[in-house]
Amino acid sequence: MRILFPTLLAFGLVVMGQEPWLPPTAPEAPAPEVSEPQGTLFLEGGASLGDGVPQRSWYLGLDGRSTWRWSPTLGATLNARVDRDWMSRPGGASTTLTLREAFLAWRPKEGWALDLGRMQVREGVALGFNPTDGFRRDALLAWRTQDFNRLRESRLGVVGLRLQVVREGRSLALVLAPRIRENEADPRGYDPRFGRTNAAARWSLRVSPGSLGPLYGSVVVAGGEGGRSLAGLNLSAGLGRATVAYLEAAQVKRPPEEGGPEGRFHQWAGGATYTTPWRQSLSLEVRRNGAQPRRLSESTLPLEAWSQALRWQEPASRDSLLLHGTWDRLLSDFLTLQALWQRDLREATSMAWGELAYRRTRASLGLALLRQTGAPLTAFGLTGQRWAATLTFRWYL
Amino acid sequence: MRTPLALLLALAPLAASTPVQQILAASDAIRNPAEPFRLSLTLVEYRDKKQQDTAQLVVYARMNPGRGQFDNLVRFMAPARDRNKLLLKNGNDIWFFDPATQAGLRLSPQQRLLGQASNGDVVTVNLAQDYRAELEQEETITDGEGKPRQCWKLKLSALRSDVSYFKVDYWVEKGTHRPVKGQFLSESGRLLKTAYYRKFRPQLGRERPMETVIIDGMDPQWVTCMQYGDYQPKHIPEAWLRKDGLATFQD
Repeated sequence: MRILFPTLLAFGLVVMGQEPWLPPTAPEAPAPEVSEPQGTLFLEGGASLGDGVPQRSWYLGLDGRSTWRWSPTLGATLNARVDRDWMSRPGGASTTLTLREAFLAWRPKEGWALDLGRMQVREGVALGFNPTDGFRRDALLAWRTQDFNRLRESRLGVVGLRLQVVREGRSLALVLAPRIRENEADPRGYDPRFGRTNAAARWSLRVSPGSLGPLYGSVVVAGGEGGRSLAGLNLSAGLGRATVAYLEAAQVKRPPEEGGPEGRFHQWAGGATYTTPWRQSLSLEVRRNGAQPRRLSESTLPLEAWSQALRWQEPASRDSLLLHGTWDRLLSDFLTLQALWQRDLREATSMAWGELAYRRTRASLGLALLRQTGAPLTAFGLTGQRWAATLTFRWYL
Repeated sequence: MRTPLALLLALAPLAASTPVQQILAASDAIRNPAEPFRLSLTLVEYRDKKQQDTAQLVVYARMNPGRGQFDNLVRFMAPARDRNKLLLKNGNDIWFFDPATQAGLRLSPQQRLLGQASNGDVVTVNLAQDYRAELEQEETITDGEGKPRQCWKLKLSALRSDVSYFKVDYWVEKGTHRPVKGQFLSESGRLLKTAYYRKFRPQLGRERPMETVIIDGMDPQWVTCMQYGDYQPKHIPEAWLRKDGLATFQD
């Protein structure tokens, strides 16, 4: 011990005094290639097992987004995906085209942008529920994950004309979307499904006065055929170096066939995200969906209410809580853990979902587990599915 | 040998004739061109001296005269999964934007990009606007190329709660005002990371550091190298530096 302690101390002093290792100076760093068209293309596949219907399913998809720029003022974007799905029941195979975007982009002068065609139009600062996003109904073709970001990748764009103006820190965006055709019950294959996004003429206007100190906000108003209307507000603020807080709220009026009580109702989602210096993020969000009954299990048409919530991508509960966490580089530089927990605040029903993803430069592999609890007519008990496990991969070409 | 009093008297004229904040501002001017510009940035991450991961970015930066601070747009070029995603730092706001989904997510300065590089590391920042500088001492240190440099050691304290680091120990070379080294500290005084600025080359009118090497404060074997290149003057439209204009970005 008399020899060991001084030896350890001397070793520690030597280590502490060592110059840090720096990589050798590199030759000139290569400039990133910017070629035309610019975009991404990847292959995705997944297999799912659970106690719902169907019990087993697989899919393979090819997903791509390309942008062309023909001149400093004119370009185009194409964003689409084709999936082949198989399910564990007879006749359970299908092919689906998700034409998310196909539009011409014109930038006539600085600060002005005009887009014509099918395009993604999204609003909202909240995580899992965006009341100010008026074009989200029926826009999601496949619900393959609980990951918010990946769900947004699966969303159909709306066909229309969009004008955006940005000047002196303020901005304005106007979207006009015509009625193209009715929403078909069961379109097949490569149908672009215009009926899902353009079954009624609609418009929206977003105005943003820019930042006011740490606060950023925008006002959204929207309307359309059938007496639908929306007036909403988005606010977000940075609080220190680690926290972002947000609030998204809307007063909504919908035609009776699109769900919700007669007259107007309110929807809002508010929360905050905190990030640690060690790559963990935690978000807490509280939501109110006034389109839903107080308690789903006590409503006269719980299945109808639940179905409308699914079509609108909103909580089936009137009042709910969402907790979301990510841990980047968990145990390894290439592992990311993501977890989500949603709970109805009026009934005993909840959903927990987690995914462990292994990500390398061109490929990723993920394993996700889902658990739902609640009585049969509650938000997470209605489908009868208690658990599911999903394995997914992506390969970037 | 100089007594401490004699040393202080020797430094006093220095502090009076070259205010410490101006030393920091001069160092900023070496890192950051005054005119709007774009540059390419390659982030290379090392673990135990082996290359692990790489990302390529293009940074567009323009001084906001009202704030005296840069507005930055970062465009991800590689890896493929992040291609054409955008990161905007505009004053107090940091936004991450995915053009594929039109989803804009507000981020905090503490969120990480790659390796040890946080959002606040990859963007162009004038430290003199965000930190108050005090001169601690003069000392000779080893730079990122293994050469001794005679430096002013500055103690930087954050002027606002939303800047990336609470405190920074910052070494600036005497005479040239080149940044040499920075140690970035948490509120508790814990070392978060160390940065070495090296490989000075002429770019847009003066010699600028073409590499910043970031070493993790807890694990010195975790190293991220930021390699700058292809500096170009560039007209940057205001719309590119506004959250609502990100959907219209085209370059």
